[in-house]
Amino acid sequence: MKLHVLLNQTGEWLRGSGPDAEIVISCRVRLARNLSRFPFPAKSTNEDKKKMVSLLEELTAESKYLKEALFLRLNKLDELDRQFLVERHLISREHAAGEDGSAVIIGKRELVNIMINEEDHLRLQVLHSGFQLKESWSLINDLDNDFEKKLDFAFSPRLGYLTSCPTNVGTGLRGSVMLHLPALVLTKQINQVLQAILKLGLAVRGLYGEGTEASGNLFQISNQVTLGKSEEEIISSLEKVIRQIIGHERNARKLLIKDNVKQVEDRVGRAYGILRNAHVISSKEAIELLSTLRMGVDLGLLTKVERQTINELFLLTQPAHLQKIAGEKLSPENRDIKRSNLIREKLDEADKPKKKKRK
Amino acid sequence: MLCNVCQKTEAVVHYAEIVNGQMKKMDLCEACAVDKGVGTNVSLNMSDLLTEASESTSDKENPLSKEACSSCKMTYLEFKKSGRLGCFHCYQAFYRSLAPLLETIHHNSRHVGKTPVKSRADAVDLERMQKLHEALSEAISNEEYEQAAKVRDQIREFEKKQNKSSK
Repeated sequence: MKLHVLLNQTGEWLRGSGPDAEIVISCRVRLARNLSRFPFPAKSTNEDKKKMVSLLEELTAESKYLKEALFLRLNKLDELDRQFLVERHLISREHAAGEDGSAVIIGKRELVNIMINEEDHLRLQVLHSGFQLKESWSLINDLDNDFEKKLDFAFSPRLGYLTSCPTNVGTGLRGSVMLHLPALVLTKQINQVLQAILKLGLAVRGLYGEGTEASGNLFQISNQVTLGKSEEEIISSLEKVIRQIIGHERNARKLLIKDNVKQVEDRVGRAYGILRNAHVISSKEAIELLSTLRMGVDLGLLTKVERQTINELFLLTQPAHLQKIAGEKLSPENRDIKRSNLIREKLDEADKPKKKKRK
Repeated sequence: MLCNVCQKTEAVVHYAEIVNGQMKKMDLCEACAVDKGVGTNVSLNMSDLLTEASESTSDKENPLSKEACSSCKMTYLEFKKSGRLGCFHCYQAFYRSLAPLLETIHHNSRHVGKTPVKSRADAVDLERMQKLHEALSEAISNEEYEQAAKVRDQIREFEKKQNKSSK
């Protein structure tokens, strides 16, 4: 029931605002931390985990960064609710499958969230909309400092913060940026760009949400190395790469408008036509069309829909969200119907107040 | 749409994969996706890395591979399977195998980032551990086996002491 609060709000990261929001959907910085008192989750007992959850519940009540936060024990949530949190990027799939002693803290407007007893004892995370990596780092750093006053973290001067998996040891920091790159895909430059990113030692993931949906020209780029570089270095080198990708996407968009504006307009118009009139739509088709629609909005070809509406639809049309909205479990066939209803509704709404007609 | 791999079940996971510089669209069913390790958030495949690392230092050469962490009782083989360590003492217990692994993953072996103001920095003295291991490698490469055995005993003793003092 608590989760309904989330259903009716738009998470900070989906606002569609912030610097470079026409390309950067969101950015996230997370820190992996473990308490020195307990073995890592793989070897800690249920009792250890429960103790930790209680400890964190106390801390949450005291922390100024976690005012009005939701504190949820995962064993109290059913499968649908967990799936819902995964779709919102608030817990991972692995965490969703967790047993007793797993919990999540969800800060106000979903800006800050903390997974407890996932792969590590704590995964502190900040999610901003638009390109604000430095701000994300600064906020998570403050939260970390706040926690550090009360918790003893497992740390060694040589290897830094000690984590369950050696891939995270050192800073325990992973920065990732979700990019919408339709023009690089359309102009077939995306392979080249992605290869260059991989060569720089960064990871690229094309998965969106819980991983069961099509990519919709969405790419998540993150650092791999966590040891031997300071937090600031990791953030600023990631930032530099992202800045270059943004530049490439902008050029590709300009080129599209210059050379192929009619073709692009046609694509956007068709996507809009289908989304406004379809009565059965799969999540894969919906995401691809929403991506095209977003490109239309970002290129100024479609003015009646707002970016935030499309961002919201990306999320609301995912399986668990559709079922939460409906208030019941739905078969895949039923979801496809509800999905199309929801999209039509939202696009109708967007069309009404302005009373503008398409040419 | 049917799964690319088994061609039997409806595909539910869709993503792009880059193989030899070519982007390939993949559509997989749940089971095949899990098999391929996609759908989880692990971006570096730990078991691949561990296999790689163990090829360069075979189990025979590596006296620690059969040993367990004296604090949480995790064995190196267990870690190899899951890619997850059991507690922070494991970093010490498996130091010899972990050091080359960290080098492969991070191309670095020393933390330069943030340090907590208040931490049990002495809980794991990996600095001392590193020196002992360096001495061990040197002794082995110089074929000074008596010296190597001595250092190895020192390492064991050091581990025991550390585990006790941190409990």
